[in-house]
Order: sequence, then C-alpha cells, then structure tokens
Amino acid sequence: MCVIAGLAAGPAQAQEQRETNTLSGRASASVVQPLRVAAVEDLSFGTVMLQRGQGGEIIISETGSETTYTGALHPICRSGSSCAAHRARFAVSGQNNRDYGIGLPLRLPVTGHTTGTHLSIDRLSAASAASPSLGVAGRTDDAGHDSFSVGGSLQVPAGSKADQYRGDLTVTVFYY
Amino acid sequence: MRSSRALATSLRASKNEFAVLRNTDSLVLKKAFRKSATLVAMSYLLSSSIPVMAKPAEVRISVERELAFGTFMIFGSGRRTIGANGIVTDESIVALEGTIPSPAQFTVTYDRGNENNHVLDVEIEVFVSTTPMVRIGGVEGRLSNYQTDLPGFGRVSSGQPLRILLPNCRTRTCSRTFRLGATLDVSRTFGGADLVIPIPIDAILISDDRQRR
Repeated sequence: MCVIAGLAAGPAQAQEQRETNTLSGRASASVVQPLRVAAVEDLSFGTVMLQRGQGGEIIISETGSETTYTGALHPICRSGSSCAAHRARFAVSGQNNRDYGIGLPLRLPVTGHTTGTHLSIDRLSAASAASPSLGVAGRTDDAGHDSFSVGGSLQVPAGSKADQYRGDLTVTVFYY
Repeated sequence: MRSSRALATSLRASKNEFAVLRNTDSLVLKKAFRKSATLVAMSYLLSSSIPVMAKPAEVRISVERELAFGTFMIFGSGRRTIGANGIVTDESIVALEGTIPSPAQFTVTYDRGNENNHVLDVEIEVFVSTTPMVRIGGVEGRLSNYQTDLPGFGRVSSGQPLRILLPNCRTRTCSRTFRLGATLDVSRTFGGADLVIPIPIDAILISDDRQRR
C-alpha cells in the first residue's frame, strides 16, 4: 500500500515542476529635475556721454573681457564702479551633468524713463561659466549648477536724448 | 598504424582473453584479434548506450525588451503612459531627449521536451503582478494600467490572467511574443532620479492537449 502511494506521488510532483515559470521584467524612467534660472546681475551699459550731433555704439562682451565704445560715445564712470558698464549674470540649477540651452531675444528695446524715447540693444549673446565656447548653451556640474553671462550691443543714434533707459531682458533655459 | 594500436588497446582491456592468446601462432592470433575486437566493440556499444533522460514539457518566459518610459522633466507630479503599440501619452510632464520610450516585449515559449511528437494545442496563462511603489530620493514612481497587444487583453489589471493559445504546435518549441505597456505615475518633491521598477511575471502551463482531428 505504501509502495503504491509512493509511486502515485512521483508523477504529480513532476507535473507541478513543469508548469510555471517566473520572471522579473523591468520598467525604467529618467526623471529630470526642472531647470531654473535666476538673475544675479543686470546687464548695464553704464553712464555714457554722447557728443552733440553724433552717434555711437557700446559693445559689452558676454565673456566680460572688455567693453568697447565706438563713435562719439565715452564712458563717464571708471571700470568697476557702480555706474560702469557690465554684462548680465544668471545662475542655473537643475539636474546634474546635463546640457542645456539658453534662449535670448534677437533685439531688446529700452525706453527712456523721462522722455519715452527708445533705443535698441541687439547682438545679445551668452557664455556659460563652465563652457564659454559653447555659446548659447551650457552644462550643469556634478551638483547641478552652472551660471552664464549675457552681453550685447547698445545703439545710440545721433540726437538721442539724455535719459535713463530701461528694458526687460527675458532669458529662457531649457534642457537639450 | 593508428587502427592496429587501437585494436591492441581494446584487447588489453579484456585481460583474460589476451592471456589465452599469448601462446598461439600469429595466424590464430590475427583471427582471435579480429574476433576479440568485434566482441569488444559490441560490448562497448552496449555499454555506451547512454540512457535517454526524459525531459518533460515546460513553459518559459523571457524578456526581449524592457519597458522604457524615457527621459522627462516633472515639476510636481505627472504621468506618462506607454501603450502596447508604443504610443506615448503625457500628463503634466515635459518630454526630454534621452532614452526612447517603448513598451516591454516578452516571449512565452512552450517546450514539449522529448515526451511526444504529437500536434498539440497549448494554453498558457501569464500573470503580471502588482509592482511596488518605488522611491528614490525625492522622486516616487508607481506602475498601473497595464496594456498588452494580446487579443482580448488590451487593458489588464494586476493579477488578471492573460490567456495565450499556441494552437497546432508541431515543433519542439512553440512561442508567442507580446508587448506590455503601462502608466507610470510620478511625483517629485526634490531632485531627479533614474527609476527602476520590477515587473514580476508568471507563466503557467494550463494545458498541452493532443490535437483531435
């Protein structure tokens, strides 16, 4: 009787073994921290003097290496003083070690506070602190940080009125 | 030269017979050698017939491609759905360049072993189990709403049996490949993360009946 029971158990076990197979598949996703940008320093063309009847141009390098004055424009303030020209600076934070792009307007109008007349800034350009050669692009570091600077060119035509000119520079950053 | 050496080796194996042959002349020795060689070869053939192991039928499931939700940016919470057909639907997320989103692909294989050569109708059930919520740093992810391209199982819930039929199976192995999509709900409080969520899958052989004509 015992032998019969033993034999009967054998095939049942084999049947159980062949029937199932388990596997663990996988789902994956890369969730990236949003990219943020904050203004650290405004773009300023400083205080300049314009000779009567003539125009000129102020060019601020995005790398901060120099500011160039052409035509009849001359800076009043010394370099490094609060009224001197300087590039804009922005801080970027986001996912570590990711490439990002910088969006700048083609042209930025500025308006005289008193007179309401307009001047124009163009040739806006950017350079990131870590990779200045990339142009309007950068890469966050291991901690997810970077910064970039913006320069441009202010056209001051002959006959421009003395005033304090202002405009809003909107920059956008985006992941590649 | 090689064959005579092989013969001598075979004879040496049967020590008793070799001892008898030592006192005979060369002609008898040659005949005896042939006879002995035949006997040895036959006994070798008999002894070398390895018993064939019975290999019962089995069902296997393998991953051809994993379920990839790709790369995206998220502010608070959002979701991405990858359809079994590969269509991507996003809610409150910003798609980014990176891994290309794609559904998972699995293959279920029935292996009849060596027990029969019949034409079989095979039925297998596949179960996709509930997956745990995964948290890495400030990012949480959870899978739900499974979808497949199996007929009749466009949308499936965790634990629901997916019936796979392999009719008219004539070869040793018969298989069926299917795709699996799902919805990934993500919430983020800080930072980013590379989420990896396991998907446990079981395949069970329901029947492998001989086809009736």
